[in-house]
Amino acid sequence: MRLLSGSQLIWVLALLLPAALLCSLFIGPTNISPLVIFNGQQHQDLMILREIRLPRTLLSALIGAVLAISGAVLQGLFRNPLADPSLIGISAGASVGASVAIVFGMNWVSVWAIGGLSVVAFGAFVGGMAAVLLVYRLSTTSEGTSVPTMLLVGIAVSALAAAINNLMSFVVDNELLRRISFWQMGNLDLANWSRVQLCAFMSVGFLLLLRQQAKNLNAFLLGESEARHLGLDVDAIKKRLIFLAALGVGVATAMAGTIAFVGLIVPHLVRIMSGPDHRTLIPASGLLGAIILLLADLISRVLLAPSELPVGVVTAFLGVPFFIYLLRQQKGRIM
Amino acid sequence: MNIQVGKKILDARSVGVNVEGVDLLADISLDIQPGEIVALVGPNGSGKSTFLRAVTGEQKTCSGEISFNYKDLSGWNRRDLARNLAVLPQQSVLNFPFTGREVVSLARTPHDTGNQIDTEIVDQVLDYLDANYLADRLYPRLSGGEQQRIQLARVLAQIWDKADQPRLLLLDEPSSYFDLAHQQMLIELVHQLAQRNIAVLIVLHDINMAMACSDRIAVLSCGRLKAFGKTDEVITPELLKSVFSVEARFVIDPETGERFMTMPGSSRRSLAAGETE
Repeated sequence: MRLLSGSQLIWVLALLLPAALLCSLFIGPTNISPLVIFNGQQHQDLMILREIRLPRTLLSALIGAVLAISGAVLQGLFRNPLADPSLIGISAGASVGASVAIVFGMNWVSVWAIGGLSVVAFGAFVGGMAAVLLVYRLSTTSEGTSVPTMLLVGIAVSALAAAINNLMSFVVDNELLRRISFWQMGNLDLANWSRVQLCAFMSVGFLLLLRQQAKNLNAFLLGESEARHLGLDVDAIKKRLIFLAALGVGVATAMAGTIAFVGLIVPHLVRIMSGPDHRTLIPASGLLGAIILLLADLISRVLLAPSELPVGVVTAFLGVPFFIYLLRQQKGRIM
Repeated sequence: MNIQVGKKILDARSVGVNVEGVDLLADISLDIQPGEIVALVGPNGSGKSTFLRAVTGEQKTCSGEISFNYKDLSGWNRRDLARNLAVLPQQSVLNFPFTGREVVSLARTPHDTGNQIDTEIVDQVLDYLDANYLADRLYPRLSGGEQQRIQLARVLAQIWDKADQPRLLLLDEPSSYFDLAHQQMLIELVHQLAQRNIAVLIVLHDINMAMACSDRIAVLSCGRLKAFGKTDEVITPELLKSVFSVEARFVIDPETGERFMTMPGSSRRSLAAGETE
């Protein structure tokens, strides 16, 4: 029934990840021979590696991992395999934040470049977090947070955000419009070392905080009252998981725009291969998410070189047919 | 039976539950002794599930006290409580492709006994419920009755060890999906649990099953406790008439001496009455 045990899958992915990292480093609009590192002569290639390829590669891997893990967490939390970050309003909120920053904040770019983060990234992060906070607040009563209500409120808040976005696209000029839609398609070409550092720092904390939550998420899949009967403090865990997922997606979106489908599909792939146990699902989703985003970014760089496709377009083009193929393979029973 | 008379693992004293001005439960006093089997019966909406939720702490009570093992429910640490009190809900929706064994293993979440002991316990419980053949199958693809058995195995695994401590199992209509053979298995099971010092509070619709299972029976009607006492003494035609509005008779199996409830010809009579009108 299952292709691999949890530890087998993690081993396979852990071996594939370095291969994907190396491909991403040395393949691109100009292919670089790995030998340049050793002979130290071709100065320009080394520069490209160090200043462009390496930060971009690391950022892709980190963002892919964080998005996939956040997707896995949200799907577990909502006990719904269709949940993804867009569902609780993060992506939509981040879009609005980014659009506002693009339209109104361009003059302050130089002032606001905090730690390599542009004003757009900052706006996206604030927007995403504000949307999640709003969704969380609206679906929390004295009785606790209702997960079904959260789904509905998430949809409503996303629709509102989409309307604000459309309104802005309608009033701005063509240049700004292009920038807004380009941001929304997701891309990784703004990678630099300070972004990598920030993202790496955040990812480590993210993983450490999540480590203890894998068993809790497993119990959550049984249902909220069942989890309570198993001795879990359901409300506190829910709050923590929502916060972690929002933080992960918020940072990832701020760095690279909305990248579709990684958070939805990767956890599914892992479940199909080795089951829904979060002790495997979380690390394996992280590894597979990193690999997939690395490859998608590689394709986005080389396909139309020297110009670049937005990576979100690549993930959607690759992800959707593959997802449908999997659905068919499972005879519609992907759950 | 292993009932320790005078001791109480669960003690509910004049419990009331009020939700938005409506009394769902009023003045319910009910106790369970270690190793005792208590059945909870009553018409739909009489408050059986509400009472179970009050016992697990999910439903806030507005009056009365509930103590588990002589300690008020609010004073229990969640995990400690979960090691001694397990709950089988009426229906569990689990859409993720866990295997039967993995579902049962989730029962060990509140314990720190380690992988090896946990695996042994899961194996024992699966064996005990004759559910070994379900261990490696995917839960969402099992039949309703098979899923129910896996869930039953799960709640058993939650309180399987700690034989020295009094434990309580709450079962909310566990037999609803069971075929005849497994209904019989369930009756035998609760008796065996009692011998392992596990008390059982079991919500049932089937009065015959309740009579076969329980030492004492509590009858709820409109949120009030109509009767609570030895099963044989409580269940009478008069009580069934007043609580369930049915004409019931009791027959005695000439070989075993067991008492059974029947509702003679009721369905045929009412049909015939409908035709003549």
